[in-house]
Amino acid sequence: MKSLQIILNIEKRAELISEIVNLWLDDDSGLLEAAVEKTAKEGLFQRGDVIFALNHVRESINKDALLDWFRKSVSGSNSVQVKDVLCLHAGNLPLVGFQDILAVLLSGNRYFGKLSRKDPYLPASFLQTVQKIFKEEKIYWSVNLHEIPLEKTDIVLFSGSDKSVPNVLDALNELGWLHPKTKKVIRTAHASVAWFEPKAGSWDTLTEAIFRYDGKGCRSVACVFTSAEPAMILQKIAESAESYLEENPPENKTLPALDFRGAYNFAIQKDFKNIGNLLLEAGAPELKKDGVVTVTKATIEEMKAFRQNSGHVIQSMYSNVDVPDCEPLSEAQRPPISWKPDGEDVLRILTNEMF
Amino acid sequence: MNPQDIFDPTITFSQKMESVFRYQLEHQPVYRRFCEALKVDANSIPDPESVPLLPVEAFRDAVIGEPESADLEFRSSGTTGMKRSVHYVRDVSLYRTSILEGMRYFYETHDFSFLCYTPGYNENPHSSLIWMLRTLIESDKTGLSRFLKLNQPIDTELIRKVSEKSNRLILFGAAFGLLDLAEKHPVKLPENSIIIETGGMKTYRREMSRDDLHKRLSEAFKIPEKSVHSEYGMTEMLSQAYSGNDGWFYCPPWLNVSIRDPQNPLIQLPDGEEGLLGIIDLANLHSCSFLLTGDKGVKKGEAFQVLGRFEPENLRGCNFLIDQD
Repeated sequence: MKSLQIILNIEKRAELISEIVNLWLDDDSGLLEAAVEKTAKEGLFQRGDVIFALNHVRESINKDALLDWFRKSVSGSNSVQVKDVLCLHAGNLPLVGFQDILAVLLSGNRYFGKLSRKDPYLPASFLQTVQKIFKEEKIYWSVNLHEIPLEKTDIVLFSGSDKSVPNVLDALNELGWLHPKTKKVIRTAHASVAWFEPKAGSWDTLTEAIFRYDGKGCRSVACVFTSAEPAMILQKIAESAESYLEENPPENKTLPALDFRGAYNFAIQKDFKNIGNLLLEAGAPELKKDGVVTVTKATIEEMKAFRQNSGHVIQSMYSNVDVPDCEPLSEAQRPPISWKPDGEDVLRILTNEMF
Repeated sequence: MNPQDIFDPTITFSQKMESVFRYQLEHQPVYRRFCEALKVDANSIPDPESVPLLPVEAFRDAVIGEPESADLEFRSSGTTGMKRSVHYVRDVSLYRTSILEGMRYFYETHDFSFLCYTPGYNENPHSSLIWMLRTLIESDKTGLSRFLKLNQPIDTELIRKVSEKSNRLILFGAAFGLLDLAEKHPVKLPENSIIIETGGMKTYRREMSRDDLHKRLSEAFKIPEKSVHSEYGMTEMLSQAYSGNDGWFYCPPWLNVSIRDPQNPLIQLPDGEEGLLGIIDLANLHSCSFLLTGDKGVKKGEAFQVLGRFEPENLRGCNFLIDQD
């Protein structure tokens, strides 16, 4: 088979992509293991986080999941207009752009990927696997923007902030890659919040939702809302995190800014705990301070109002009990492949006007 | 220590700071706990460059000072329902001295009458700015200094009387209040007048650069742009810094400003690097002299500039950075 892009039958395409994913994970050639080793050796990510990400891929990607995603996202007739899609991958988590890569392949579009210098090996090993199987697949990738053989892009996908987005668009304009009809899909959500009922248990799940990837993902919980006393929640999280941190010891020391903030909390007699690389504190919810997780005594309505008032900054709302509009807390770091960053279905965007 | 030693020019800043530091470690529990957590104590007095600076939010989040023996209670401005900072001032003479000596350090105040364009003291008894302006008004023996009526033009007869007394005029007010006055009731002030504006350059209604503001005030009141000055102060401070038209602020001898690294506020940044404004205000003897503000600033020698509020770079979540990724 020369290329996924010429396969119009979505069932076949989904089947082949899931087979490629399994081939990559089974790693007979050692390509993935080499990528994992380099990633860990260069201190890009903790090995535990990389293995977690790969395990999640194995658990969540199969033919049915891809088909289900496609069917939920795409409607319309079957005319094909293949587009050039530029993906600019951030490197804050291992394989953070994997959903985008799969979405482009599943949609049958051409993939042009700028891999992050902070995560260059893992996605590259997958793309190399795709290229080996489909030798004529139109996929191009590099860590150097200028090495990507793109003329104009129809769609560009990336994550950013108010500060970073203008710089990125300037760089793309300088390269002449944007045209008036280029669709820009820019994700700006930075953190997530959770409603937590202690009586329902699932402390391990809350711990993972907070501490996985050092809390750096947009799906990581930055604010915990609860009807219980925050001091008790902090204590229980600290206890639960002990075993988590034994298996996943943080590599770096706490940031000096967090030590300073901890000293301030001690001064004003606010309940707080330094756990791993993070500072967990009782009090009003706060999203802007890197490394800080707040625990707030509130109602569900107050949490929802906070989400509303925070606008585009909050990615997801979770709960460990059944609460309308909340995702299960267990899916914080293990989302289905069809999850929608910033509430947008990337597969629908890529296939819009296409089918 | 004798509080008035703070203003004694024969004692060095470092010596005064050491006395204040020891005093506050003993008498200010919030600051003591803060230093304890940072492993700083009276056995190793830090120098001004590395002394721990307590975030000013502490005036909102805790009790700083002595409410039971306070002469005055200043509160920060804010909307209803918002928790405000409270500064308990135990010794009103310290504040009065700081205001008058601070102003005299930069201006020949006996030459000036003060026209203050802010709400009056009776409407805002908890405003440190308005208390300060009242102090300046009361210090003028001509009786011509006063709070101006809001939304009314400046009485030209009053301006004439000030000139007759051979006094110069200082028009003092909040930045956007003065701008409103300039837009609605421009008037020619004597050419040797000075305007001093204070406060932020951003309100819910508008935002403007300081240069633009000064230009507009200069045009409306017909005085040279170089005569439009600024004052830097806050509820949490009892001392003020002043700048000429160029935006570089200077401190009186008992006030020290440093620029601290937002990633590690125990570290002072060198001249030219932007960071968080840190304050050592020795007049805050009975509250806390060592303050970390949320303002962004930069230093050059003894002078500093205020560059607005510091916005932390949110490193959380996915963020494609063109120069790092």
